[in-house]
Amino acid sequence: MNQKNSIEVHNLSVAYNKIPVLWDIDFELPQGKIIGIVGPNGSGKSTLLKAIMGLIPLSSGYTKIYDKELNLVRERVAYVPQRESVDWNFPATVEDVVRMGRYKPGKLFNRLSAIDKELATEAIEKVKLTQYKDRQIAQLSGGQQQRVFLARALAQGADIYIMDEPFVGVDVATEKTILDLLIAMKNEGKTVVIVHHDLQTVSDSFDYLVLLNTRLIAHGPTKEVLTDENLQATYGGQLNLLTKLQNIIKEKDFPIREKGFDDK
Amino acid sequence: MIEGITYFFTDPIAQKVILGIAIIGAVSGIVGTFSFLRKKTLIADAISHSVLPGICLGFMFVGTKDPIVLMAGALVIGWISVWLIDYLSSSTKLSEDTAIALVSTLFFAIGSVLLSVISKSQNAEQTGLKNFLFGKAATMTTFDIQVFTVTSIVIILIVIVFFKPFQLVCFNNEFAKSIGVKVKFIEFLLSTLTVMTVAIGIQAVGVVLMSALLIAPAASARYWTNRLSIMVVLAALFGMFSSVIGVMLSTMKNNMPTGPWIVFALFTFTLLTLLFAPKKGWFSIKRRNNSNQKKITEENLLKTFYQLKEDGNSEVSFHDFLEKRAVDTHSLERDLKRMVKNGFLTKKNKTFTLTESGKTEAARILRSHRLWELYLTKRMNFKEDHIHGTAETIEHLITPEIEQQLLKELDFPRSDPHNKEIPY
Repeated sequence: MNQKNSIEVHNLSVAYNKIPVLWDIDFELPQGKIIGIVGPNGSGKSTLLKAIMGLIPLSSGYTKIYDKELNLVRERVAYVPQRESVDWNFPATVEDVVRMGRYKPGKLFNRLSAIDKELATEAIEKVKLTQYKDRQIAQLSGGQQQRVFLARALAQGADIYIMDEPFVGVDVATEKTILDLLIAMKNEGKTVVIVHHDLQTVSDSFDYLVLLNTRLIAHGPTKEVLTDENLQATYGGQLNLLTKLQNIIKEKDFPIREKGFDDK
Repeated sequence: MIEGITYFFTDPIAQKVILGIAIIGAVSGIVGTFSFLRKKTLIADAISHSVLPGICLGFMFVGTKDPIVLMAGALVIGWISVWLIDYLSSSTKLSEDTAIALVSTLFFAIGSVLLSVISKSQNAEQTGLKNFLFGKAATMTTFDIQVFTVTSIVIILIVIVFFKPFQLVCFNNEFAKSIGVKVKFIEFLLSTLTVMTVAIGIQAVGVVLMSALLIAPAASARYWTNRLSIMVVLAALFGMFSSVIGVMLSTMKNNMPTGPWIVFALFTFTLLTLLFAPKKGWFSIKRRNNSNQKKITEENLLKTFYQLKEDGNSEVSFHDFLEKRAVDTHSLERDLKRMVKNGFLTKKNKTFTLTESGKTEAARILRSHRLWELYLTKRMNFKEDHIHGTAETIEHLITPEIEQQLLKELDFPRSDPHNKEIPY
């Protein structure tokens, strides 16, 4: 694989609640770009991110980061889950959550160093939440909560940032703050991968697109990929035949790959 | 009663029991906090019901009430129940709550059968196993308490060492997984701690009621703090005090089980929390509502005064007020009295006049009202006949900063949409 790639996804299939939601996805992503993974609801975007982050079992294929297994390069990747995936009533302040970005599994039992704390403080500053740093996270607006998650990722100091729907339910100010940050990160040579559900907003900022609707529709530089034909394929409804097959697989509890079949 | 209490502090056996139950209560509070935050309180309940067969099997194995063997039995069966719940909810169509209900009742039923088998084959009084149902703190021997204390110290040490991973997994386990934390192991450890806590607690509290001691302290503690570390400490204290008080109450009369009294004590703590907790407590909410209401009434009266003055009155009688505002005589009297005391009004021969500070305040409120009406028509395209109701509420909320912004944005207007002058 070309060393200029950040993420490689090879022959990836994933079933969720026994329904296959990703079919044989295969692509490579460049470095130092803002990359949008775009598709309608239920197209498997979040599942794709979770597969890349090793959070869910795969039915087939593999993913690699910088041409290595995730476990070997984990410190170079930061993951920002969907805001709704946690209970914001958890007893923690903004600072508590952002400092979680400095936790390292190897030294999880040590106290955070002064440098760790400084990095967390800087991250809070970058997302403009300094005045709220001691606030209980339940008392923040949706946009502010999203920025807390972003700050936690920034505190990790990674090279690749993988974000699940960071623009959902955020105010205009937050959208602008996040976009400015993403561009600044790109200019520092970081790679940002964002799951996004529609092309109307913020898509101008994407350098590179992956169009997804349970199968890979297209991927490449935004200008080349953004054709009417591709959009029609992405948003123009499900493939009837595929939906039927999905249902049969679910009903019969059938595997996606035969036993012993090797994709590699 | 006094005798009963002094007895606890002088009798060496009673002292040991109190010490034992205090430790058990504290550990339950600590471990329960994590179950509570992971929203696994039902699992904690299931575990405490499920360990009964483990206790019985342990007893059948050695024939005595050796705390180490009984705990080992409880641990093994407790683990099996956790695993079974996990397996049923992930690999079958049963939802988690159904799996919990099925497993906990099944295990409890097995335990009850074993219990009656033991009672038949041996002298039931002698075994004292029946006490495991509702708990009997007084049956704890010195050796029991020593074993429980050592186990408690181990549990507390594990919580201290694994505090950060526990926090991560409870808050956001996907993120924890993404940075490489072994989430499965941490979850296993948390379940194990719950099982261990249940194992040391059931003799004193009973399998039926043990889950209350795990959950109630955490639920109360959450009301008093927004920090996890403080929450853990508070839950420990709540658990400890409730247990000690429960044990004392239960020994007032002979042969009462301990568990129910601990639950009563826990419930009292929870109730007090719901009433008195800052911000989210009942009294706090009530106080906030009252002060809001007071503010609204007072400001409305000042406004009325100002409007009456606009019509040409400088002195206003009680009767004028009553006509203008539909309130009852009694509360109007009370409110006016308070405002005289606050220095907004002066009273002379049954008529009221605004003081200087009253005038300023009244002008400010009317200004807020009229500015907001203007804002609604100009910026939010409200029709003129729709703006009054909203402005009536918003006028009480406009802070000096917001007023400044409104003034700037509306370019210091002279009159409102109804052509009334905006007072400065």
